[in-house]
Amino acid sequence: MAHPSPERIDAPPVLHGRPDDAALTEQLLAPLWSRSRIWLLLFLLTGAGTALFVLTMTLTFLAGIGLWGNNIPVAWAFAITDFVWWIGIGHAGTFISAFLLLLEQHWRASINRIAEAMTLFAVINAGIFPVLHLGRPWFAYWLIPYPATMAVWPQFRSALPWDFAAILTYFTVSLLFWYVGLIPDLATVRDRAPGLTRRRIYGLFALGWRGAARHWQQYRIAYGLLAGLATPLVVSVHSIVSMDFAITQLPGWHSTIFPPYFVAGALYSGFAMVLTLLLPLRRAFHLENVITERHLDSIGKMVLAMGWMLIYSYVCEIFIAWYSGDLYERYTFLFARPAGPYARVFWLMIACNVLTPQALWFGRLRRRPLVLFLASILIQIGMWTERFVIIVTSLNRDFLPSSWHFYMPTWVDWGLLFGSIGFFLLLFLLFLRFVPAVPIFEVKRLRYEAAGEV
Amino acid sequence: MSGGWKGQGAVEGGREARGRRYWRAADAPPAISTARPWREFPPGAELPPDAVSRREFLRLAAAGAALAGLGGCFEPPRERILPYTARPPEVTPGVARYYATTMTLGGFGTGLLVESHTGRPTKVEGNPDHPASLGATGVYEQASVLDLYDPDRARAPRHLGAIRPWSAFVDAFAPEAGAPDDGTGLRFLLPPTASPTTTRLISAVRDRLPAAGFTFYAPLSPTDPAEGARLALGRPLLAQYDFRAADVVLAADADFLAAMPFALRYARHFTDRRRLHGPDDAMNRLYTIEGVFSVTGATADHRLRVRTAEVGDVLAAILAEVAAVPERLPGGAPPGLATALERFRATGGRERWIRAVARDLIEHAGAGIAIVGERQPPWVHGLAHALNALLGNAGHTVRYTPSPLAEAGASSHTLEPLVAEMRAGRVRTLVILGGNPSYDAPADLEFRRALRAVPRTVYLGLHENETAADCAWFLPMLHYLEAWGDARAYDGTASPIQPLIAPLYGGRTADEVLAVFLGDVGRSAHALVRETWRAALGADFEAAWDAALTRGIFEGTALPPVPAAVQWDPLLRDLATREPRPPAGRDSFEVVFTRDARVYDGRFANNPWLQELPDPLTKLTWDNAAVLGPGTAARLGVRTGDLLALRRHGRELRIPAFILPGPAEDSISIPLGYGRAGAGAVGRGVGANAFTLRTSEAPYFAGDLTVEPLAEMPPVRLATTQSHWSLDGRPVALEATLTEYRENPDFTAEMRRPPRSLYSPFTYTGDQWAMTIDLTVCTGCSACVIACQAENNTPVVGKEDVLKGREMHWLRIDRYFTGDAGAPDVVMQPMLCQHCEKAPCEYVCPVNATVHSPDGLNEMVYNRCIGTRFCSNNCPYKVRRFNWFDYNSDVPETREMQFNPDVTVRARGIMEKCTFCVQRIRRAQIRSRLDGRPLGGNDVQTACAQACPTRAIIFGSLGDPASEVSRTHRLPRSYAVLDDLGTRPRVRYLARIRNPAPTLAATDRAATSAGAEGAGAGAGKGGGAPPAER
Repeated sequence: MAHPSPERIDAPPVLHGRPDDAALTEQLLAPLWSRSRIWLLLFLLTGAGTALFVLTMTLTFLAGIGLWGNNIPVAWAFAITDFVWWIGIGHAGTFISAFLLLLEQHWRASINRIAEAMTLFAVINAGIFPVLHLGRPWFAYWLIPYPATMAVWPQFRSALPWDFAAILTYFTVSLLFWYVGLIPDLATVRDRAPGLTRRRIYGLFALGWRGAARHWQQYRIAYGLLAGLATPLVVSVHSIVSMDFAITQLPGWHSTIFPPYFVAGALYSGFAMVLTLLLPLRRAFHLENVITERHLDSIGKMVLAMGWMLIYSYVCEIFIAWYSGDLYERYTFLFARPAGPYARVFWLMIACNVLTPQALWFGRLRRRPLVLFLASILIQIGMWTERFVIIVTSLNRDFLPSSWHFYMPTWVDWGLLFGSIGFFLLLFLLFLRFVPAVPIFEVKRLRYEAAGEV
Repeated sequence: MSGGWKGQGAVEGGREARGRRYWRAADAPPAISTARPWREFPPGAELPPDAVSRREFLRLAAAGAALAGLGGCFEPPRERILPYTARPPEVTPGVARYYATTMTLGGFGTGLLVESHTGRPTKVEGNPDHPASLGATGVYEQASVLDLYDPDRARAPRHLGAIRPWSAFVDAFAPEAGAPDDGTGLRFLLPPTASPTTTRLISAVRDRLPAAGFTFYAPLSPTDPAEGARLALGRPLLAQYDFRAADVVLAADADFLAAMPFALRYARHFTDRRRLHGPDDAMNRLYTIEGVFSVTGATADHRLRVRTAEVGDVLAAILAEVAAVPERLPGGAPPGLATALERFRATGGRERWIRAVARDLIEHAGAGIAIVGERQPPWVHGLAHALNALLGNAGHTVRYTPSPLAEAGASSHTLEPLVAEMRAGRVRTLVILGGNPSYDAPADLEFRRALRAVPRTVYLGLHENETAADCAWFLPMLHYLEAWGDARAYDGTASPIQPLIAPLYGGRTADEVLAVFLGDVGRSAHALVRETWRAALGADFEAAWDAALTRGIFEGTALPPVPAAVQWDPLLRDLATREPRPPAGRDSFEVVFTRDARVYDGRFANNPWLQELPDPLTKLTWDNAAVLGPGTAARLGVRTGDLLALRRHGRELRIPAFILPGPAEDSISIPLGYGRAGAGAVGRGVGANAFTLRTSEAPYFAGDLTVEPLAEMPPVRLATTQSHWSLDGRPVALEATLTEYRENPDFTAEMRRPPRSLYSPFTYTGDQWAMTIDLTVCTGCSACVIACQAENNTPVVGKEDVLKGREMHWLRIDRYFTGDAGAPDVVMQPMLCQHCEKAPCEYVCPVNATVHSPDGLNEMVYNRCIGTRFCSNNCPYKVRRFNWFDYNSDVPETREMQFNPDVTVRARGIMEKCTFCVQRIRRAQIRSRLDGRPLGGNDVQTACAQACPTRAIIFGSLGDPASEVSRTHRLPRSYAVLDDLGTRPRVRYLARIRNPAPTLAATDRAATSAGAEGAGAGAGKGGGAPPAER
């Protein structure tokens, strides 16, 4: 990349000030050496959340899915909602890292690692739920096409084996991508770490990186290839997740718009989650110079764009339901959702997902961290309720009125949701503590780019 | 099979080549020693092992180990034992055998065939040769097998709480037989019985101890029908109805399709006249007048809602209309009748309805039936007898026989004199043989307090219940599946009760206890029954006895009809005293105590199947409630679940309200049998005890109830299995009137539009299993639901899980209300796995756990299922059931003995659903292969089809074009539910045809059903929504 990307005159810079390399390294490695009480407090808090997650999972494994509120007809509910929510959140990381890399959006450099870590942890959470939600989770491996002695293969007409494979692939590629991007910085940590033990551990993970030109050349090739590999996955994973619903004939699920709709929703919630994590981090570690208003502005625009894709999908779904003339589709979209037993959840979803992003039309609001943070929280809630609306309101009133039944979550359902959030944040805190959250070498590169020296 | 065997008598089912071979009698040596009284079974066929004698059992039980007795049943003996190398010839593990026996309910017997697997009775079927069954069963019969294995059953005789041997009881009471005082102060209390042996022993006791007294009491066996017959006919005769010959039926508060003696037979014969093969077939017409919404009312073509107390007024008005046209009656009308009833003729707004019914009855004189519910007072029964006599129905559709009940019509059928004697201290010894009077006696009699005044009390019961707690002596009773006895059906047909299994806990029958008072201490029930029949069966007793055990009836014992004529003078005198009831006051309500469709009078309260069975109309499980109509609820300002305080004569009952469309306004009905403090672990404290409001002067209904909603109390969560009651305009349960059907026989054609497919259709060959369900004859009685549960080891989940929507029934009955919310029409739709040819569940299963069989079954591979529940989400019928917990892990050991060994007991975390009773299909296929003959299209019956009293469910193979199911699948009114989804279900429904009276159809019906009927003939009703456009 020989030339700096064309910048708009009025756009805030991607890097404030002209710190030298040493100062930047010092600043960005500081979280690794600091002993922060706040960190410890948060660690204990999220640790409690993780304990709740482990507790509710253990209970579910021991007693069965009956501990949840699920029933017939609502055979899927909170767990699948959580699953789709987490996997959606897990989309922004790869999108920011890979998609924007390929599009040469340089502002991504300061935030890509946070986004990738978020992806990784979200996908871990997302991977737990489908297994947990099986009636007999100890047979989850039957979804893998392996040459079993029973000579029975998975059923490839179902979306679930594909889903299983897609998540596994996505996790693997995300992990590799994140790790490869981490190697130069791990070497930096190795070189700077106090104490031999830490140096050895970081050294082990740095894979002998010395910063040689050859290393950099091969690194660029590998990273670019992985980005190329990861990019289609951004689209494929959530498309396949949407198939879990779209291949059925259930009104509310049976829809061809689901793959793009789900991808847009995933990115929407993913960007929102990036904001949720980034903004407190930026403030806590005084990263305003490397994560600038420019970043916030760009993410805000992405959120707005994704929000509108989602709104389009909502309108499309409702229009098609009416246009089809189908009694059951019409009932689900025109009555059950806006006026049925879960109408409040539906309108909460509309308020969060449709109204919230409209604030981001305004540049001044887009650059205000507080506004963005509040918007991001509302969008997370909105996206979770969207999945709940899709899953539960479709199931609880389907074809035969006799089988309609209300669904009410139990404390275990809530425990799993909040527990998984706790677990996610715990992993993120550990990430902040042990790995440079902002890619040092990429920020340095930005600095040179900004100075026109690259 | 008569005479084919003697002595050993064991003919293995598989080898016997001729005739029907599915049941036979067990061998029983005539001489029974007292030491080992239960040796009538071949060795190895029963539990517990012979090594455990009664004495040993009692010793173990006395040791205080609660489960030691049970555990003892399964422990091998300590001595060295050897396995048998030659199995008993009559027992083949894996091959079920059927034995005929009889279950008694309300005093009358219903003949059954009971399936036995290696000595364990597992499933009850109806005996086709028995007049009360005709091969069908009801919910009580189906569920009774579980009661046998109830772990809460009483296990030992007790005196003042201490376990005592049976001999101690004998020693204490046998001297009564020779008491010098002729039995003064000795009283027996038992439910009404028609058993020939019990009747014989009662007369013997009366002969021997002339001062002893007998009282017959059961809470749901009113004396009003007998008194009504006495009033109208001069004698307490029983009316025997022949619904096969009836074109028009008028049921006045009579739930004859579900809740009367002989209901199974009535249901079958009644629906035989509604089974339409084509548009030219005739159909009977049913009018009901009722306050409580009953199964019969839900089936009716016209249902008039009036309060239960006003039913007689309406019937009187109909009789007046009929009597007003003597020239059109076969025998004219007695003078004075029309004038005596004149004041009933104008009853607020019902004239049109009444006139139409009267006209219809007159037009079908001699081919109609007027039937009155048992709880109605005698004069209303008298009206029906008069109506049947005037119309010439008597002698054709209605015949009269003496009652088979012991001492029928005598004063011994009232409880009050006995209680008065007890209070006065004139009862020295009270022997209660069954029933549960401490729980179910009228509240004003204060039976428990009276019981305390009796020095010596004995109670024989299945459970140590409320009455057992009040009596000094307690004797465990034998369940009918482990006892010898006999019974009579409603028409008098006698049938044997033969045991299927040796007593699980020991116990006695009422006959054996009665024999003690004859000084006959050594006689077993078996000997007593044989003694009864020895005289009756004549010279070749053994052969006739064996034949009776084999067939399940004693031939030719039905009571012959007797001539009976209405005694007009006493009837007219009585009618002269009757006044039409004024409209109810604003502050009082009517209360009706009803027989519960699930626990009867409370005796089945400890049966988990029945507790979890949804009531046919309310769909309520695990509770009872005060059922009231929407208007009454609005007046009271209550919603379903709100707690009500019901007060009558200083008594109060707190019970939640349940709003059901259809009951008469200002009338509240409460099912009896709940709130039992003395039931076992399952039934204890379930629901509210309506007996606390029920007094002897108004045991069935009363008009002076005050109701106070307890607004400050938290509402009760009532577990219903169906929360949405309307079809919402969806074409799911289709119906039309007979006229519409005749005009357009193909009216379901709109619903037979499977979408076009890109693929060429699959060709099916060989047996292709399928089902037809005729909505016209389905009454919603729910016998199929319990039959399915018993056959398929379906677990019970409990109230909490029903509230969450997790009931496990493979077959449910969807009940939809259409039309006006006050007086709705009802359609019942049994819903089960539709075995779709293109099953949506199959392609979404990630592990191939649900697949299609070559003979058209949608199969569940339990071992392969990992529980994604994707299949359920994609099932448009939502008939799949998931094991949310390990529901079978805490089934008591004894109840496990009921499990059908041919059906897998499912583990936690897997899906299950209707299999079309695949085990029965495979068994029949194996049998046909062994026999070398092809399997016919009608040769397999599912459990639901077999139990169905009305034959609404038809099962068979489409591979056989002559099979019943093939024929009904081709009928024009057949349709598949949600056919437009392209699932190609193998279950087809025959649309419900109603037969409204032409004079009433145009206005009254249409007025109450929002005009949906005319427009929506092909589209289902409700809300008047247009048919789906797909």
